[in-house]
Amino acid sequence: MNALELTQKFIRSCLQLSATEPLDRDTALLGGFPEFNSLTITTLIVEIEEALDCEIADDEISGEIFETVGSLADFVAGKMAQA
Amino acid sequence: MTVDTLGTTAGPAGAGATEVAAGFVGDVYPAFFLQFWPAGPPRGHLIYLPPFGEEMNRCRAAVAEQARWFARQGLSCTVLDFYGTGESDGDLTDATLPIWRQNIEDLRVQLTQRWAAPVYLWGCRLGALIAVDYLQWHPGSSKRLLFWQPVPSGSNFVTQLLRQRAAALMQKGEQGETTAGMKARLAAGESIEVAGYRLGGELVTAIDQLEMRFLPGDGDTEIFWMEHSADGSVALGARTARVIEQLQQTGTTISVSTFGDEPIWQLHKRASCDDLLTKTRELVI
Repeated sequence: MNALELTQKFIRSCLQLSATEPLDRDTALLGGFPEFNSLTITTLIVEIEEALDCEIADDEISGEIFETVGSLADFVAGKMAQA
Repeated sequence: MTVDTLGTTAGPAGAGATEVAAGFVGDVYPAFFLQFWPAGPPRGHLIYLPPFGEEMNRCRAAVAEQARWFARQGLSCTVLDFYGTGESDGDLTDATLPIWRQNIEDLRVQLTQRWAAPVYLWGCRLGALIAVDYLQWHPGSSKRLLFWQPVPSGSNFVTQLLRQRAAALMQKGEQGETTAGMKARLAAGESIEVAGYRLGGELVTAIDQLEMRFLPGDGDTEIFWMEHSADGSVALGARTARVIEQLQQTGTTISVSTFGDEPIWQLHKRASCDDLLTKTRELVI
């Protein structure tokens, strides 16, 4: 599974979206989904940490990562490269 | 100990009726429990150890349903609220890990005195990690464990918990606190509020040090491990796979199953309330 597919899977799971709901790289997360809040962010980080067995430091987390599906996928790709 | 019988429910055809009772265990640090008792003599006692904070509440309905089912199969099932949580006495800031360990031990003693039968621990999320900690202090007290989406590392769990506060501050545009900084304040004995819960330094610092590494005993302990898989696949996350392998290497038998339901311990359940929404809209028109 590549970084984008993995990211889509995490988002679908955290926001309980159906598999048919479109999620492409440009789909907005923060501001795009009303229920995307601080708890969603922490849940997503946990999913990434557990799936890749990595640690994500506080200073790696910023609002920019969660702007779109694509920005989050880039972050996940970076973590996969380190794992 | 006080037990109030709440009522008796009939099981399905062929299964016995079960009795539901509520009570407290422990004199110094009383913990509330809800107990499902089989019609006949129990062939085993299940003790349910709950998750932490809001996760505990979100799992309650599913747990009660499962506990009732266990009782219909001839097992007693006791749903424990640790001291300082749920319906128990005390504030969360007064709770400590040794008190929670004692809550489990008090309940185990009470159950086995009432009827001699093996005790099984059923831990959900943090409750599973607490079960492993309890067995370090009371080896062999439970040879079979049931885990629902266990938390394998206290340190990761506490970081994740504190991150909610960091993320909430970040969203408000306030200067972010680091999770390491919050852990240091907790270790110094301060309490910190996270998502509506005031966390005591002693308890959280003790949880931070828990790791699911091994179970004491002669390698005769068995864990039934239920792990969530959003897409229903059997593939485990890298972290879970590593922890399971570690436990297996130290002689614990682990049977893993994955389940594809929605993660009930998390928020974002989009329950629909169409009736409420429709009637509100009718008012506005």
